[in-house]
Amino acid sequence: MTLPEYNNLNIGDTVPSLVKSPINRTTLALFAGASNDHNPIHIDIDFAKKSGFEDVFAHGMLVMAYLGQVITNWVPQTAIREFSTRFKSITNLGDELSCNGVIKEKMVLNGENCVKLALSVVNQAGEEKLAGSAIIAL
Amino acid sequence: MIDKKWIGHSFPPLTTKVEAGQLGFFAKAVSENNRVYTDESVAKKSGYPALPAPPTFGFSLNLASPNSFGYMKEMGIPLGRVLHGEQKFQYFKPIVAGDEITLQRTIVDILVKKGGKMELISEEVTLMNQNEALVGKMLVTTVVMN
Repeated sequence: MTLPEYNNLNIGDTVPSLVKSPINRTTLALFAGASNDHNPIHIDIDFAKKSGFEDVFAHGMLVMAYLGQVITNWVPQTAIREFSTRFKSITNLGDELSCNGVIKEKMVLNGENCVKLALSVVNQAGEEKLAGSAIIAL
Repeated sequence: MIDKKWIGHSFPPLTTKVEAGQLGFFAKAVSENNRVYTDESVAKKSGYPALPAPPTFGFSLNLASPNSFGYMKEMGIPLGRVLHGEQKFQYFKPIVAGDEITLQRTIVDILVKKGGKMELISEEVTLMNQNEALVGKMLVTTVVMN
């Protein structure tokens, strides 16, 4: 993978987006095991109901991992300086997530040419699940 | 309400090994198609000494203990009432399979919102590798719904 050329990038340029398969219970069980996040709210419907939810729902970090793939499909991971998100609403079973990024700023940070990406995850209904940003050194 | 005495408190550090098998399992769980995360030869060609941990894996390392949510219990927070609010990672060096990472969690702030209906806990976590290099930092914000 080669780095995009800093001088060829413009504010408003989009990075290739990514659409993931709809979330199902297997996705959540696998992610619970693989990510060490065993919070029963994501895998045990009885616990979720007792806690006031209708059903289990996705780990925020599953959605953030998907969003991270937008970055690492575009640049090598070693180019990422920062990656942050706000979890805006719960991701439910059946949600089909689209992960998107756009260049918001170009700047020099600690002597490196960097771009700041604005990142977003929306479901099939257009509801925003995550809003984030990343700083990439090029 | 969460006792504000926890602000500034550091929990005992956790040291955990980054396992290639778990990285492969994580890649499967997130339907990763980028072979740098699943094929060691591709990782090596890309300049890593072993399979790299993906950008959000530090959060998983922080839960790599049978008592991973024990600190919440200690603070009197029921797990069924928490949501992940915000998450930030800073990266200084790659984390790769075989590394031994020591994570140190410190509560940096507790904010009361909406007249006590919500509380926000901010934790800073540092990640140090076996060579005592600071490889990354995380800021974790947890929402407690009262």
